Amino acid sequence: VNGLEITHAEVGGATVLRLAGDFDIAGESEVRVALDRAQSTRPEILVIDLAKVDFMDSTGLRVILGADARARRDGNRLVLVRGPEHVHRVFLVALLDRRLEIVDDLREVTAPKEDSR
Amino acid sequence: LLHQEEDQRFCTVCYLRIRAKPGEGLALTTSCGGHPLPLVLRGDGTVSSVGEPGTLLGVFPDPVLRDQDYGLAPGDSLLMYTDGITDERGADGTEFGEDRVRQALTSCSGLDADAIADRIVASVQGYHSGPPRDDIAVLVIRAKP
Repeated sequence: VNGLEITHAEVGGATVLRLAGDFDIAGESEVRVALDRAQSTRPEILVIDLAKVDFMDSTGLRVILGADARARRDGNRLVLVRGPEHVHRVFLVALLDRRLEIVDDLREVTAPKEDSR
Repeated sequence: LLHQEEDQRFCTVCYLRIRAKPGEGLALTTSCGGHPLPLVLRGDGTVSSVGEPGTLLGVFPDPVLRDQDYGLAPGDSLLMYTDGITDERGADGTEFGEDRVRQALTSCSGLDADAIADRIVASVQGYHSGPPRDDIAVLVIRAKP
């Protein structure tokens, strides 16, 4: 059982919060504060990167749904980078893979759109 | 309100409709809203999930909810459980997970509903030392053999 580490980065026009460790009630307020800070600048694209999350429960889900609601209200995009299989399953059980924008890799969001020439 | 927190409260639901078919077991209809799908233990010892995943309730105005009809033959059992079971973690941090629920249920062939519920709870408690992290609820229904 690990703590949660949160890192903030600006990558290719997106604000990225990378979470690593356990995303449960112990890390909840820390993530809320980080999200609140990130969303207060109304970034067009906010990415929550779950790739390094070891564990997530319904508390983590609620925090993410809150961030998603706020992004929608502001007219912005919230994108999730999918976590390991057992973390991703939390979204599948609740059918949230259809409601949230979830990508396999951060580069799908941040890579500059170029011609395929 | 310093942080203007969104409070995205939601609930998950597993709804069952049960009709007794005297001598033939039970006819069931299941709909799940964000809840783990129930598991069925058949008389031949196989375990499978029933129902279709649906959207958790309370967040989106247009949840996707689907009914599935199926039957329990005499002696078949059905297990419903909360995420306190699957989210329980072992000494190395690994979650109990659905696979271990299925394994535990597979070992319950021939047991009655009370004994199945006890065994599922015992296997989770044996997996984790100390008090559970989350609340745990299990419900078992068995068609009279």
